[in-house]
Amino acid sequence: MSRCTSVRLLAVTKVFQPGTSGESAALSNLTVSFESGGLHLVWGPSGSGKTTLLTIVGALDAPTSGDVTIDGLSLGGLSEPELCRLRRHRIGFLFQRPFFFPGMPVWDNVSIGLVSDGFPARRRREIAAGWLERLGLIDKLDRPPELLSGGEFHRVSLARALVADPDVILADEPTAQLDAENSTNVIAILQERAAAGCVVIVTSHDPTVRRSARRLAQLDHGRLIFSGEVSG
Amino acid sequence: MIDSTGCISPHGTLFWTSLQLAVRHPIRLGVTVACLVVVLTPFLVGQAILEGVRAEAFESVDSGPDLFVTGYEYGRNASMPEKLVRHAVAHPSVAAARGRIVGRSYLGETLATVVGLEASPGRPVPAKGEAWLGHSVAGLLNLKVGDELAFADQAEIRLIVTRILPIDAGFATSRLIITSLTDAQTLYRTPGRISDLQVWAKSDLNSAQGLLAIAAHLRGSQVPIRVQTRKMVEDYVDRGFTIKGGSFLALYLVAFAVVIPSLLVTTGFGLSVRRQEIGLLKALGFSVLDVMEMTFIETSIVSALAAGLAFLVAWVWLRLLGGALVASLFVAGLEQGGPVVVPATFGPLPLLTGLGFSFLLLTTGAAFTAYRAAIARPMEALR
Repeated sequence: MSRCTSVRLLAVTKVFQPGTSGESAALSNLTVSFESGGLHLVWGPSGSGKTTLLTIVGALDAPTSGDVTIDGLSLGGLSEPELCRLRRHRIGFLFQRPFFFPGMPVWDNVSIGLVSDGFPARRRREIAAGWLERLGLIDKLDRPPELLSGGEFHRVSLARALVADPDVILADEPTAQLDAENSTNVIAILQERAAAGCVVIVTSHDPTVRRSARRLAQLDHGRLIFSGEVSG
Repeated sequence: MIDSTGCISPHGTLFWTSLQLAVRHPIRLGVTVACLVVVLTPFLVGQAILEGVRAEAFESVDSGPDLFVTGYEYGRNASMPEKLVRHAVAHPSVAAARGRIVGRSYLGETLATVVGLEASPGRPVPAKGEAWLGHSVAGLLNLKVGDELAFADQAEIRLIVTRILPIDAGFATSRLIITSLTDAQTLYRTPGRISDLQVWAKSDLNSAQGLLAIAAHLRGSQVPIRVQTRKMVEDYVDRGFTIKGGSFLALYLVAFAVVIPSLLVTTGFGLSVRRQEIGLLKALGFSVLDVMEMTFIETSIVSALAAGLAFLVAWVWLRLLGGALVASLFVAGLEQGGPVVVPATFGPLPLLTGLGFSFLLLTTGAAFTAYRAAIARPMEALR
């Protein structure tokens, strides 16, 4: 099955609160490409624009100027319904913050993105169970997410990002709050998805992730200061 | 992309997920439903009483005479000579005519409606010196069969209670004191006079023309009278209830408008959480339409729950508490107390109206917020 092969950012700038005293540029004229195969690591200090980059690639936010293409498809030219379909079928996003639906069981939280495609509950539960088993959380299937630890919830979020089998996986600090064993497992899963032809872009401060990444894009104050193969 | 074999209509899956989302916070759901029940119940009670009283009034008019005749002087109702009864029955189209007195008198502190009835074949009335009491009046005056009834303004008249009418005889009847026509004439010092004349036309002759002929015959007696057909009385009754219903609705809407802000505050305490959840749905690929459909379903579920519960509470309020506080808006004299079964009819219309009110209230709070969050970029809603 053919997969997405490239994600490109073309002169992307993102300014928050433009024209106000709180104006801040999160990304400045950023041009960078991410190809399929291998992990792409976006590296940089806090506030360097890593998360903003991911949200713009994931069509969760719009750039102030510039464009993002996925396999040549310009996100700036897509209508709102087309963007929704793109998010639903082609993009998986792991948030650093714990966004979830309290009161709904973990399996439901993992697979809720499949609801608008008409997946019945039993089928969603099966699909969610498959991913939760891989992430060592099968015993938490029916628990409400508010009873999970931070690390457990982070893995649940990863399952939610992967459940629709997306072409582009965007993971914001995927190993944050995880112990070494779970970090290794999560990185292995992301590498496996990359090997399957997905474009996998992660942000992280974790040296383990850096060692596992194939390419690196380093940001500082919203500017790209390095892009290339990861060395040592 | 994931294999979509076995998928069903997204509307079905959206419905079940919305249902889950609606019921997952029992406390929040409970508070919202409770607020709606507080707002809706008085409305449902009021509507049920209004419909009940209206139905009883129409039933009474329907089973009554074809013509209602009263004396008419100086532009207002007056008494008539009793001989008008004999004049009426002389007309060939008249099947029966009955004179009566309807008046009001104090018994101690209690103001009661006294009906003096003329005896006629097949229609039992109290004998002279006797009185039948409606259930409510009997309770109010603490009277039972065999007791003596004395009127405040005519102390010399003493009637013996010979019958207490059953509680299911109807609300209007429960507040009556029924006497013979003669006793009523004595009580009101109007010997030989009546306040009302009821006329039944023969069944094959009660057409409009037949009734007009009877009316003309009655006017030929030279007694100044006012004649009303059953249809006219029905129209008066209907107009009266429409005005009462309208006044109640207006009062209710004012109360409703006062309650809305507090309800919005109560139901809106999770607005930022709600906005974030919609942002998450959008991030996971839900469209604006999906979000609005889910909001609509959630709102409908909560509305239906609230309307159903309000309906139950209204039923209890009416059946166990006699519609306390609301009934007196529709039924005069309730403030005097006494055991009364307030007539009430629970039809589908008040329930549907309640559902509509409830839906409107929730939609006011939820739909706008949901729409604003849904049209924003997901990260804006998630921030």
